[in-house]
Amino acid sequence: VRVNAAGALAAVGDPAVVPALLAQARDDSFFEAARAAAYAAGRLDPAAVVVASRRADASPVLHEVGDLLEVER
Amino acid sequence: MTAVRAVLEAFAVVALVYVTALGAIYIVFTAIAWRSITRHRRERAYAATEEAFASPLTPPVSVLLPAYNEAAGIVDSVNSLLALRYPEHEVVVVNDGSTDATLARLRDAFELAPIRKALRASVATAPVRATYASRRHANLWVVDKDNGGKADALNAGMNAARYPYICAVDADTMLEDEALLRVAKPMLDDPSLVVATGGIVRIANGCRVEHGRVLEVGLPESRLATLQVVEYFRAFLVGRVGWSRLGSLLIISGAFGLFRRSVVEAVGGWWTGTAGEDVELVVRIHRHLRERGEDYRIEFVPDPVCWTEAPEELRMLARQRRRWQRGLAETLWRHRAVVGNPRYGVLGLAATPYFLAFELLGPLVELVGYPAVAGAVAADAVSVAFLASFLAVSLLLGILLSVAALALEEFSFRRHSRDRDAARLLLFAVLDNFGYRQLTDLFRILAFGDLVRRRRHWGAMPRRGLDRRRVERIPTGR
Repeated sequence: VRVNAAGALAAVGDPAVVPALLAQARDDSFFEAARAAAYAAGRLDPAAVVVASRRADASPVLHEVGDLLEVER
Repeated sequence: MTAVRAVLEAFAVVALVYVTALGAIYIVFTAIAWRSITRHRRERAYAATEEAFASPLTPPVSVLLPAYNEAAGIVDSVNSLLALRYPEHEVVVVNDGSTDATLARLRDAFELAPIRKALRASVATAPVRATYASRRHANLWVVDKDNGGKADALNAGMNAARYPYICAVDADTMLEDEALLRVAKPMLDDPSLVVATGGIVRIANGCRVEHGRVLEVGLPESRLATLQVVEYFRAFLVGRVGWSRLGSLLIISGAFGLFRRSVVEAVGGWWTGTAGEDVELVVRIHRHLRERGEDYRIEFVPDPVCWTEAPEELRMLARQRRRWQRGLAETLWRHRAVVGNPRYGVLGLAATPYFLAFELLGPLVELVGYPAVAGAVAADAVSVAFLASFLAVSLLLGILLSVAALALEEFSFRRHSRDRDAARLLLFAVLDNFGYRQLTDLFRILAFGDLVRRRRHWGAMPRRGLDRRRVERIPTGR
């Protein structure tokens, strides 16, 4: 459910959900849900994800999406 | 003297019963295969790949490409996988500690950038050194890791895979454009039941190949490779179709197989302790799901084509067959609790006993059978008519089955469209039984020595290269 919800939120496109998605990407112990949240946040607010990926407490999925966004720039 | 005669007579009778039973099984399988392939082709006419391509329900797939010292052909291989016609797929190349320029070629050709890719910890692998994404293709990833063998590389690829289905391919094979769509079709039709599918592997020697694509199908010049073309028809179009219909397909070729990722993770990934990681994984999945009483299907799909290069030298053929036989022996030993066990249904009562009696021990029985029957005739233990019966069953039935497999190919897929090629294949379907089959039996017997010596390595496989511009050393797929 969390994986699909993240995808749906990205499709809806409301940037207000980005902080919640970033928190899920950082803290969700279910790998697929965390990654889906990180990708969804990346679609909605790339700059926020890049900043979040540089923080000391960033999760591996945030590193992945943050690095990808930096490469795409 | 009487005792010797009795032993020879007993051996001769056992050999005759054995080859008759094997022939009978293959006749049944040929009939099943004809029926199954005819139905498959009829259904395919109504369920074109367009439907699967357009459907939002077609599952996204991560294609895993383990590569060890593949510098010569890796760029073509990756390009052909990126060009697959499929709604959503990614390609995960795993550089398994190559000592040549594999990684450098990938880096240059696809503008790789280092990315800290998040990797699942589903299955432990040799350490990953770095991960890369391509600036040119958003769906291409490269995992660079310490050498750990093919199974370990596949596990590392699975840990990096994003999608719920994973397709394992060999770096020396080429998939046709729609191969992935076709092999995924059973999963689209029945996603809750189908956990794995495999496609047919064909021999590309003699085909015109450019940039990892087969442009024109032809037959090899090499007689040894042509014999393998016929052998592959028998193995794939008859054997695998038959076992698939019976719900006990044991082998999905390592060269081309599609799996539900969660199932592979649940069983612990590919086992690194065998030379036959492809057959072992499928048996383990069967076992895992049957022990839990789950409904599932593992299917062989006869038309999605994966092309591979067959060895054209006896030495290489021997090495390949010894490795396959070793893998089968290791698998059956590891899963010996399944053999003959009614708890596992057809798998326990038919498939694994068949593989033990006919695929693993068959070469021994057949090669010992010839001198035993000849000795029994010489010692007057059995009649000349018995010898004639043995040869008729052993050789004529072999010819009949090879020709039947060839006919199945010609009437269903007919990839070798030239009449001259069809006639040559017919000739080799006959010749196959006079020397080649016995020779491969001998190679397979040698595998028992490897097992005793606990020989594990794959062995290098020098290749002429499918695309004649490249010459490389690559391990082969089953």
